[in-house]
Amino acid sequence: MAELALNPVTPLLDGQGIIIDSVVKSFKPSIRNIIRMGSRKRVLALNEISLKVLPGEALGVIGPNGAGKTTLMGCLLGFLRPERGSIYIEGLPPESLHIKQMIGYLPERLTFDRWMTAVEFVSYHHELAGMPKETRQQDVEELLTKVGLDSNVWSSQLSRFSRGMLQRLGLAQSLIGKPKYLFLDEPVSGVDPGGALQIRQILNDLKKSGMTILVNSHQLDQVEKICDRVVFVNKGKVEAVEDLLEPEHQRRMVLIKFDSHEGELPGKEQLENIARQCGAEITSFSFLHATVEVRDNKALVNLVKTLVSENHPVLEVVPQSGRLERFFMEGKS
Amino acid sequence: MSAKIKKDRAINLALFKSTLEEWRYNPAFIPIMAIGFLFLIGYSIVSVTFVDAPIHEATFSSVFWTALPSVALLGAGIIGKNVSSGILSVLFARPIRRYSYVLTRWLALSVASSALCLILLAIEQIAAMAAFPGILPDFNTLSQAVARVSMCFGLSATFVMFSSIFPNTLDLGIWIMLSFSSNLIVEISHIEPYMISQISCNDLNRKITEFVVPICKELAIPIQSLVSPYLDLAYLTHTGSVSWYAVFTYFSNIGLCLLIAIAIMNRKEVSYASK
Repeated sequence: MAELALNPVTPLLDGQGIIIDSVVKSFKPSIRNIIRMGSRKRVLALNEISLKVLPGEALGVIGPNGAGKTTLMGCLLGFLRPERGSIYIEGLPPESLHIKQMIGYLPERLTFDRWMTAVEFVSYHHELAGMPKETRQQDVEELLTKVGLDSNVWSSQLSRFSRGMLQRLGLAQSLIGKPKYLFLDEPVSGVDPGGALQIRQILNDLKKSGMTILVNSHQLDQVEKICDRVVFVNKGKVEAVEDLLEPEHQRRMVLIKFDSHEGELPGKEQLENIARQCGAEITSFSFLHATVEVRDNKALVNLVKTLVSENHPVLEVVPQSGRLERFFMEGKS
Repeated sequence: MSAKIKKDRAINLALFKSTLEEWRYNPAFIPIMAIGFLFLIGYSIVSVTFVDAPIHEATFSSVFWTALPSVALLGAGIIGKNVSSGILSVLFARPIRRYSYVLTRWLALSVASSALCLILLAIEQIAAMAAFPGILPDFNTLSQAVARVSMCFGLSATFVMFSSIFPNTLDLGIWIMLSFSSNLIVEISHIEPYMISQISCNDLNRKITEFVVPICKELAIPIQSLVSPYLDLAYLTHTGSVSWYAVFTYFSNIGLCLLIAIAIMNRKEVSYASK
């Protein structure tokens, strides 16, 4: 896990991107907590958090529940006022109307005007965003098609929509006007696997088009496939940063599967010897597969090369946990 | 997709239209409105046909009981419901000023409730013309129209203020409580000095009453005009010239309510993280 250098944030030279500098945010305790805990102390949600998001970057924010992820997003969107510190998007505060014209937002807990139809809802937000009336119908249809919402339900009331359909609609409204910055809070929550794949594809396309994306999510596999960089937030602080564009240099477990029809299967002792020579260790072994702990990428490459050169039928090598899963678990511990 | 157009207006047309549509599509709205409306029409027809002159003078109670149901039905939770439901976080991610949101919701409520009141007045006038042939709309009709519309705008401002403070539809409860208190104060203020000796038989009660009544007399009109502001055309012109003081009071009360609502909304944190 790469350590985060918590240096003072210097403004970006060209005023692009997002700068979060030593932001502190706390909340009054709820009446329930005062009664239960007997404490009237404010709850610290963000504790001197500093971060830079570069233009065109896809940044994932992960962390346990109550870590401060949603509070951070609330501050970035100007919904919450930090007590200390500053946030700038393109050199302007997030409350600025100029910035609001550049952003798209998909909240985690979507609340819609449920009497509207899908077309009416997106048209309404198209108008709220100050987009021209002439292109409204075309833009709305393009967006609904893009998020994969079946055209048969475009004229149905939102009260009849499933959670996944509402999520797609929420994504459509967040993409109105091709925003420069896209803030997504649990974008694939409640979406079926096909929908999740489609949303991931859309986000990857948007990233390629140069959009800056900030994703809050507990779905680590999705974050891993979308983001360039991931920050681990815990107790209101950025505790670690993982650059997903860099190769991983970390111990990890892989499962090696063999094909019994294609060659000579290695015995346990034989496999242990090969693994030891390559910088790996067998943790479990059975007839057709072995779980191996490898020191780093180099060790894994050597192990596979050696097995293949000795004519052992390696069918596939499967990581036992995702990169972010390991990153998350290390961050938590 | 086309480039965006920067807009920064006090009234947001998209939000205004959506507020009106929201009422139209509310499944509970049409039946409740129909029942309420039929009751008021029945009351008005009976009243103008059998009880009194064609169209009443614009007294506080006659105006109040036509304006209040419209405003209360449409306006309960006009902002509070949006705050509680979380709709505002999606709305405020758009380039909309918070004052524009408050003013637009107020205007939509005022316009919709005024329209209902004016439709009711038109029905009353038609009933009166049918019951009393030869009767035409007169000063009382105009006075009623001005009073009802002005009370709708005034009450809407009061509801918007309370709704920006209290969650969900609690604003209606608070308004009813305050209105009840203001009516009580008005009633107490009507006690004349010679009545005090009849009401209170011991010295302490008499002294308390003598102390309370003048205060209520001072507070009655300001509180009532804050809770339910309206313009009484007959009162405004009874001296032959317009009473600018009353006009100023009416507009300043509405302005005050809206300013308070805007100040509160500007400070409100709309992310559910704050909950």
